[in-house]
Amino acid sequence: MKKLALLLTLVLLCSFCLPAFAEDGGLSEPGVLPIWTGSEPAVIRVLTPDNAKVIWEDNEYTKWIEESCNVKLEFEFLPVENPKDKLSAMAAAGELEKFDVINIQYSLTECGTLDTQYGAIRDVSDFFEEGLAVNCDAAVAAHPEQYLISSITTGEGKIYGIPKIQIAPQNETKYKLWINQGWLENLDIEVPTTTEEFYEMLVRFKEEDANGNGDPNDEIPFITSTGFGGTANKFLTNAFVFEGDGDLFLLDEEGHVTTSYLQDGWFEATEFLKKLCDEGLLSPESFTYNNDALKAVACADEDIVGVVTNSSCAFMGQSDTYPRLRYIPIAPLTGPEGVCYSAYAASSTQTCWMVTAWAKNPELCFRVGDFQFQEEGYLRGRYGIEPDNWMYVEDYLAKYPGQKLELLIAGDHEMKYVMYNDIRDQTVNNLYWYEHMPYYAGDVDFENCYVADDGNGKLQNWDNNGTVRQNTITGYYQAVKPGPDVYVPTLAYSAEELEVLGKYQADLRKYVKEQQTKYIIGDVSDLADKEVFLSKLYNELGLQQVLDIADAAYQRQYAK
Amino acid sequence: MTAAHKTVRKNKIGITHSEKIFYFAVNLVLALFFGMILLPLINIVASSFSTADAVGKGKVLLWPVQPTLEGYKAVFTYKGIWRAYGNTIFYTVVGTTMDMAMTLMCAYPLARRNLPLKKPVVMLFMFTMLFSGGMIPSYILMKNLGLLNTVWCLLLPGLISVYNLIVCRTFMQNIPTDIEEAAKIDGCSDIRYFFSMVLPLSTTVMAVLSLYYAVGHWNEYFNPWLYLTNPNLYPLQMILRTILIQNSFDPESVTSEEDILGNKALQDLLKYSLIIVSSAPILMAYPWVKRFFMKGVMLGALKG
Repeated sequence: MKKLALLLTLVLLCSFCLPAFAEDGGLSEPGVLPIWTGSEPAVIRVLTPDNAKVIWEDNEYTKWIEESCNVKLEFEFLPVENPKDKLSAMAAAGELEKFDVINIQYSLTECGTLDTQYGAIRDVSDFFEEGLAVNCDAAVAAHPEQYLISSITTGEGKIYGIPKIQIAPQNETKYKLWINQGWLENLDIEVPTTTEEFYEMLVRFKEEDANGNGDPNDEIPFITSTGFGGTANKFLTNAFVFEGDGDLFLLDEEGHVTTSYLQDGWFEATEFLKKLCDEGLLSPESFTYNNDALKAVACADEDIVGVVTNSSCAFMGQSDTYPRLRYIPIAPLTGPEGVCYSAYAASSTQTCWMVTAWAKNPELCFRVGDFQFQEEGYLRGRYGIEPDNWMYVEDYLAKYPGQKLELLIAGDHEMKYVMYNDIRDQTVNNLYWYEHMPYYAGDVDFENCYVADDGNGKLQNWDNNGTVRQNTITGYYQAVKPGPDVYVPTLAYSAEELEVLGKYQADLRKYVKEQQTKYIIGDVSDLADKEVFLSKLYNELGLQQVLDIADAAYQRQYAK
Repeated sequence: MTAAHKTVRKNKIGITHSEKIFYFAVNLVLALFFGMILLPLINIVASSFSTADAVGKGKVLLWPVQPTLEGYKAVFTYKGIWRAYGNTIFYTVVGTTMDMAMTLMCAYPLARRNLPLKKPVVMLFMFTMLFSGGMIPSYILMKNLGLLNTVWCLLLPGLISVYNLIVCRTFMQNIPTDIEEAAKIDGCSDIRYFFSMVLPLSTTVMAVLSLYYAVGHWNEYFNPWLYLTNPNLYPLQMILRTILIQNSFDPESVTSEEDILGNKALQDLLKYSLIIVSSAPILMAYPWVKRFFMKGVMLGALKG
């Protein structure tokens, strides 16, 4: 009996010691794989939002990380709906102590709350300084214009994790304008390139029988919606002055932050829009219709609409069908002063892969996050596996000789990848984590190709004119995006600055938008008298304070 | 119904002209209400069996257009949906049983006239109807009790609904005390009285409360959202919400604009299929319990 007890004790002791033995090994030199050198993989406990489309067991992306870094990822899940609220509840209850990594996209402000309020995540700026983030550093060097790290650095210099950036070229220039191709042909009009030509075209649309049904009065020359990329203002304003999104910031000649609505061009653009509206060229419904309402008009069997704006005509219906193919996109117009921009808003960086304050081996966790921040991670995480979901161009052409490839997004990038079998179209798979991963898109989206001709004069894998049209035009918009001398990237503010901004920002945005819309459609508006408009902005809406803060933040982050 | 029934009541007294008009009006109003409830339901069923395209274009009215199981196929390809179905049935059956046991055991003493300290106890119960700890304290409590990520975090917190408790107590109070006296004379113990007399007399309220509890468990969403991080324990509603959200889109997060289009049509269809998938079992259970409703649930007034 005693012997048995002794044996049992021994076994028990051994079992206690086992995990300790597994903890041998250490970390490799920065940039050397595998990151963990132990004989057993190191366990990293990850809290991540669940996804109905992802099979987490036996997941290819997970395996890629585990095998490359010699780690074992153990997941627990946040619900798909309101994962952030749940995360806050868990943080408040001290339930995050169990985890090494929180893998969710968070804005800088949200990260700040997790840090200051709950002390739940670790500031990893020291790791960046030590040069442990080899991939992030390489990415910053390759794409300084994306401000990958500076845009997730707080005013105090804290960084809360590995960035995620998913470049969405179509969304960066979402305010696109589409013209009825049949009407141009019927009236024999060239595609307009200047605001003047655009105006003349609208006049002819209105006065003549553009749709050729015998009735010259049933045409609606120009109607837009409040849908994604829908407003008429942005497209036209950018022929006068650059105007992006949100706070409408831009840089003046001295490199200080100002707003589009303080520039002369903006007032000219507003007058131009008002003229269109006054003369019945731009429908006042444009400011109230949503995409569904617009669709009802623009996709009616009678061909009655000349020009619409939207990020994509996808809302009109299947990509290869009429009436969607009635409309072709046009490149940004040039204004009377020769100004030509696209209403550009850079794809924003968010923090992903945050190391918790309780992580057993923070450096390892951090480096595993950094490991994913490379183009291969994006190719696997967004497009899937080679050659099931994508191929390099050389391999593709070797397999299908005689096909003609073209860049999906027109530009001067090298053709590198052919994508097919989009994993996002498959309902459920075990290839990737869907959206919460430290993406680094690099140039991948600009290097994608489609088969323009399969040898029989047919589009192949991107088998739809709509998408190709869409992406080609994105290239033209990207080509006239504002340079760093005009564009103000995402600004990071300190807590005090945010407090001041919180007071004014929303009201300012709303006021400008409201007054401009009212003025255009002919309602009573402060814009009728520029002085009134400006004095409201400065005296009541705190524009000066907002500009001061934004400029300070800009100079701190981006000025050389 | 034959014509004779329409003009003559059971007691053979003829129906007057004005009464005829009255009945006609009543029937008409009821028929209208019935239609108001029924038509949307039929529309949902019809939509769920139509193609995404037809639903997206709003072509479906009361009969499926191009009948297909597309929507259901889409719903059931998602991982974990069968397990979630099983989980929900487990939570509903076990949960309702436990809830009923606790509610009855609690309601009976409170229905007795001779229970000491009855008022303060009832007050305590009522207090919880008006005030609760709030989300985070509840979460911390569950954590400290070690219930997070177990089936118990879905079964224990709602064990007694005070509203249901009061309904049940009121019902039991209306059982005449004479019955108890008679039983006692025949040598019935208190326990036996509860099981052999009170329970059989309370079948009505039991059926109704069971339905309340069962529907509550079936639709439960918030507690699993808050207390579970293990998808293997998710009930159906969690999975269904997940599917719905995953198929709605945020324009900022889609790279291919074609995603928007594909998703939009499927999302509309999914909505209908999901409604049917999640509510069909409960709808089917309703007719069985309905006859108990007819007898009425007493909350305090003298009726039934």
